[in-house]
Formats: sequence, structure tokens, C-alpha cells
Amino acid sequence: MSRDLSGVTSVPSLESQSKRPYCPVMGEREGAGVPTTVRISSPSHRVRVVAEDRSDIVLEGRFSSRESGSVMSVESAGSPLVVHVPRGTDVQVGTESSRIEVEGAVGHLAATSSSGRVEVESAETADIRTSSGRVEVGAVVGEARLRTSSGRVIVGSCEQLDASTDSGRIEVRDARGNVEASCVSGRVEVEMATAADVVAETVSGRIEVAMPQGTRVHRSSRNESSEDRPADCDCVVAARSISGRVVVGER
Amino acid sequence: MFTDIVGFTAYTEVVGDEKALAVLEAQTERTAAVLERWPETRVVKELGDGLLIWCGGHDLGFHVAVDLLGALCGEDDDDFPLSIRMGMHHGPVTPRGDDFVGHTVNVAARLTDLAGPRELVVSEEVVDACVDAADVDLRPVGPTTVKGVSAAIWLYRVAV
Repeated sequence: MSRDLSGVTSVPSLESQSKRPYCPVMGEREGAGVPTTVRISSPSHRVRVVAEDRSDIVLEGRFSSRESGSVMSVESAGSPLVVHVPRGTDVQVGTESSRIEVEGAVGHLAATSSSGRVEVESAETADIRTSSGRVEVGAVVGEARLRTSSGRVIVGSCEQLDASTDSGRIEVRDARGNVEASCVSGRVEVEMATAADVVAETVSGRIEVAMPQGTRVHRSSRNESSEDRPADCDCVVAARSISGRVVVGER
Repeated sequence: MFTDIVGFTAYTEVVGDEKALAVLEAQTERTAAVLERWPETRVVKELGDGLLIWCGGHDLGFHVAVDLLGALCGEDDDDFPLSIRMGMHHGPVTPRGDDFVGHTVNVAARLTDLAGPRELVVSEEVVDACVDAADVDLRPVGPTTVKGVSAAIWLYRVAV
């Protein structure tokens, strides 16, 4: 067991087993690999996840943890947590009102927060949900799925986007794939890095889509099949609004 | 499971009570048509524009929910121009007349808040209880907490 006095527990990798035995938190075990998914729950305390060039998982703070297969679950026991993971690890993390910070590049990120702030540097894919908190994401390599009731969500870049808000605000700076955006009375602003299809719905809010210059956009009031779209358009924007606005322009 | 019509309050303000009522009637009719196809299911109660639906069979929940999503989230649907979101939890419930109360009900309501339009969010308890879970495309959403409950509840989105 390698829990030292500062409350750090190191979980060594399979590669290092020849040098020292694998010692998970709950006991000793040999022949196991590093978890590929880390689940973190910390309702009242800050969580910082650091994805870096390493082959082990290191936890800092007061916590309880357990493992099941390739999944490590960590729960704060009354202190902020710092979780060091190998780059590309899948992370599921949730707080109520505390801050979540994800540094480096993680795999699939699933994050929930009620009112806490969420800051993410980079993820392969992301599913982030907040009630009223502020979310800032640098880059998502693949699909970004964003949900906020009244908060503000800012994403630097992503591939496909699925974003919805009630009365909040979602801003995406560079979307490279198809977009689905909806808001009740809030606002969604998407800048497209490439021409791609957009489906936008609002009741009384505002959705703004900025396409690359010169993009030939076909506006539709409904989702069209590929057979219906005109041959000379680069993309289709299908918009449905009760009394809101869907604005399509150029970057 | 709970359902909720996304944006119904704002919609009512814009279009007026009569049109909003028509949407509720459409929801009632379509939900009844779906539940007729599944045994041991019923609408427990209406809560404004939302519904509490009980499914008695462990394996039915996913199928009933996906069926409802299809009936109430169609494209170009003038009779139902909004979308619903759904949250589902599994566990014991306490009858109170024709109603159900208790922790399981409270958790299901919380899950609905986290769902987006046309989404079904379920707890890990639902996944563990359903033998058909292996055939369902589940994506992790993360944990949530419910007031008064110390343990986190781990969530999944059903990709349809």
C-alpha cells in the first residue's frame, strides 16, 4: 500500500509491476492494469483533473475510492481533489456548486454541475451539463453535447455540436461538423469553421449561425433528406421558431 | 419516469392558452396510445405539462421511453411543435392512493432536469435492472446528487 502521510495514493502501471507490486487503495493485487475510466463525485469541493504524460493515476486530497474492472470511482471525503491521469483517460465528474478544472487532454468527458464553474482544456468528446454555472471548453476533438438551463457555455472548437439552453447562452467559436442547437428564450451563437448542416429550434430566443464566407446555404423550415436538398448548396440550415429568431450570416 | 415539455411555459406566453391546451391534449392522446401497447404501465399523474409514468416491468422502461420519444418528438409536427425530455430511475415506490411518492420518484424528477430536448436520461440503477441494457446505446453523463442523499447517482443518456 502506498498511501503516504499527505494523503496521496499512487496507482502504478502494469509496466512498472516488475519493479514494485500493484497496490490499489483497498488492498494489494497483482496483474491489473491502470483504469481507463475515472469517475469523480465531489458535491461540495473543488475537483482538478490533470491529464498528462504518465502511466499511472495519482490522487490527492481526502477521498474514498474503489475499482471495478477498468473503472476507478473516487468520492471526496471533505476536501478538494486533484486527480492525475494518463492523457486520454475517460473522465466522469460532478459537483454541485464547486469548481471543476480539467487540464490537458482527456478522452470522453462527462461533467455535471449545478452552479459550479467548469473549465476544460481539451477532450476527445464531451457531454457537459450545468444548471446555472459557467462552462468554458477549449477544444473538443469530436462531438460536444452541451446543456445549460440559465448558465453560460463557451466552446473554442468541436466537431459535431448538440447544444441546448433554456434561458442561458451558448457560444461555439469553431464548429467543424453538423450542428443541432435549441433554446427556449436564451441565445445560441455558433461560428462554423466549415460548411455543415444546422438544425435550429427556438421558442422565443435567438440562434445565430455564422458560416464561412461564400458558403451556399439552403434555408429550410424542416429537416430535409439528402434527396430534397438543392444540388447547388453547400449546406442546409433547418430552422423552427415560434416567435424567436434564427439568423444565418457569414463569418 | 418523468416527462417534461421543453419550453412549454414560454410557448404558452407566445401562442396563448388555447393553443397551449391543444398541445397538452395531443400529449395526453399520444401517451395513452403508446402506453396501450405496453403492459404494466400507466400515467400516475400530470404535473402541469409533465407526466409521471409508472412502468411495472423492469425490462420495459427503455422501450416505453423510446416509444414515447418517437411519438412526441417528431419533425414538422404541427400538432406537437415542441419536444419532450425524460428522466427515469428504478427502485421501490410508496403508493399513496393512486399516486407514488418517495426517494425513487424524487430522483426521477431530478434526472429530468438534466435531460435536453428529445433526451432520455437514466440512472445506473435502471441500467443494472434492465436485462436489455446490453442492446441499448448508453452514453455516460456523469453524477448528480439529490438533496438529502449522500451517495452520487450515476447517469447515462440513451442514444436513439
